[in-house]
Amino acid sequence: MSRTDPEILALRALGETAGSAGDAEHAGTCPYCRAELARLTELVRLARNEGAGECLETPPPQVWDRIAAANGTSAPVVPRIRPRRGLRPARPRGRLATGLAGLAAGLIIGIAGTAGAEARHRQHRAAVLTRCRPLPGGRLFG
Amino acid sequence: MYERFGPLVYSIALRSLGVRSDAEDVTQQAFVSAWRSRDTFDRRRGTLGGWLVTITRNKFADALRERHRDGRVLLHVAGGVAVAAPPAPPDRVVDKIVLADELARLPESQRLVMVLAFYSDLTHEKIAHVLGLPLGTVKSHIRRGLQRLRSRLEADGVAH
Repeated sequence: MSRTDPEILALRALGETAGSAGDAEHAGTCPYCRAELARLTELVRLARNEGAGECLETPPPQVWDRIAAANGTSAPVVPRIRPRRGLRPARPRGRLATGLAGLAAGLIIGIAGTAGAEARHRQHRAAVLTRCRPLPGGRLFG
Repeated sequence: MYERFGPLVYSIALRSLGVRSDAEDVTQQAFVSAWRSRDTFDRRRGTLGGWLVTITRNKFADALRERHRDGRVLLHVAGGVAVAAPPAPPDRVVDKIVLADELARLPESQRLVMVLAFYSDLTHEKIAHVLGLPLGTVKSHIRRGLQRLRSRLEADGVAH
């Protein structure tokens, strides 16, 4: 059986009316596509309602000093396994990306001026998130 | 490992406890414990992040028991109202921080696409226009971004 285009499922999970009427009907009746759409929709709900609306915080330096002292080592904790894919160091933020972030933040602030309270709240989170500094990259075992 | 997962552990502790010094203590104890029990980590049974989240939850519970023994009442502040701290970091706090961690690790342009898709009310066409990216790139970023966030949540989160 054919499956709905994964990109269409992803956009529908975000609330967009992507794809044709046939796509919508198929996603409602095909067990695989219906389950996939439900999982993605739940993820989007979690992200919008409860998740990801803030920047992570880096522990202050004295925390590592205390850990190193307790462990009698200056080398970070290392179970000896090989790095997984997906935990590679984040790419350094380039000039283009910084420009994009500024553009996106400005745009969000512009929209926020005309939106309702709930939308303003979400857009505030978006503006905060676009300015989150990338976390220290994956010196996973360094 | 500390550099990679320190912000995850610290942010979970901080959001759960609401007090920086307590969050620092939990972070310290979690990584000391991880170091001492590193031989028990088995990657066939889960990810390093998931293993650390479990240790963090245990240290959180230990810290709470200690406070109760001392006769101190631990409070955390939710929406400006002080309430008794829960017996474990709420699952939604853990999942929220895991999601934030993974979102922060996406390549920059993909991260912006996902932030706008989640929070800006813009359609993918508008996002493509605003960021000056091809429509196909934005759709691909969204599909892969959602898959990656979901995989990470299934590996390291708790409420799934």
